[in-house]
Amino acid sequence: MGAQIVLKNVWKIFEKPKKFTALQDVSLEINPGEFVLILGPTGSGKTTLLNVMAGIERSSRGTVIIENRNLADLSEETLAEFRRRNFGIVFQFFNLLPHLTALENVMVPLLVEKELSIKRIRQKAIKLLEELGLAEKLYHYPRELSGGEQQRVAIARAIISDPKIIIGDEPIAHLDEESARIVLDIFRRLNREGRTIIIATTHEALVRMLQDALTKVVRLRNGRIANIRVLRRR
Amino acid sequence: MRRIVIIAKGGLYEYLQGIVTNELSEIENSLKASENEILPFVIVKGATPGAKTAYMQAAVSTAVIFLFAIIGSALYSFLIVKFRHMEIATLRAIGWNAKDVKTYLLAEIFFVAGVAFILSVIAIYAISAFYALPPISYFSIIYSFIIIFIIPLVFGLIVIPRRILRISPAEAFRKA
Repeated sequence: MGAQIVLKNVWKIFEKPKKFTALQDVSLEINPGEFVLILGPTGSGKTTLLNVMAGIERSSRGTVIIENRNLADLSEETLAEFRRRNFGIVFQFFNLLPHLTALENVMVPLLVEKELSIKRIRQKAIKLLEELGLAEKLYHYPRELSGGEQQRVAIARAIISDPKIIIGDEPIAHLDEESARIVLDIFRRLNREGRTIIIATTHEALVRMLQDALTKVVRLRNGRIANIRVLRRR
Repeated sequence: MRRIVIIAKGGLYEYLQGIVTNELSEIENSLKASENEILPFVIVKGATPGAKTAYMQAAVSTAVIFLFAIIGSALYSFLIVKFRHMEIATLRAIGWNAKDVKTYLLAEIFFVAGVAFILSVIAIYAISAFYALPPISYFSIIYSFIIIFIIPLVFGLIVIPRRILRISPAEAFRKA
């Protein structure tokens, strides 16, 4: 089986406000169903790497191929749709829409899918929230939820469009220990279901916490890959 | 010869009650005869000062609605750009394209404009009743309705592509 994500000699250079090279000659392959941890200190380029993989940001040089599609060939509009169908994104600060309930937040990605009815989207969102233990919180607003609950809503939102790849940028950074454990268990489960999981973090402890599931640990330093450790093959 | 243009049948009919002169009776009769017809423009020759005042009041109330629509739309567009960066960036990041975001924001602007319109009409009627002003013409209301929807549309169509859709999700997240 070919790699699902291929990065070849990827560079990302920001020109403003001051010229800064966030990624330098990064090459990486990730196979379907892998569970990859990207480790590195703040400013090492983890978030930029995730953004470039998901097409949120274009690389300055190099090639990014996802599911056999070269992202450079896709227009912004096509790329948005491609991202919706292939990537589920879990943000560090959850990024839930404050004026929508948990249920509505989860429904958001699919509201632009013309072929799906609102009723169908709603049913799907309720099912996901129930699976993630939030059956009692469907109509709560983000401000009424704990950090762990908000992150679970964000995960439900990330997976409602059945993406093949889930990326998480510091997904447990602002959670207490118990909430972090629950969220990591959810990632494990999603990985067992066949989804590729890529998590970026500064926390070394995650290597230990996820050792049963991880397939690869990628260490970044100053925008370069310092080391790739393969723990198991997929 | 003095001329005045009144732009609604209902308005003209209501304003002329009690101040009809010989010169105006013919127009009043024609209005009464065509009760259910809207006459958009009627030239009234030799209008009385009372009719002119009534017309001015209608024009001023329409202008006030017009002004509020412009100020409200500009302010709303500004607030979207200023405070909803993250929300728009998140929508783009999770796979909404520019057209989706634009449709969503325009729908929201129209909804707010609709509510503003209803509230403004209630306020105008309340003020008219309180100060015993002549009733507002129906044409003014329809005219204001069109303005209140067209102005936000214009603002939305200018501001959204120029400012909002240029928001880069990655940049917005970095600044957060």
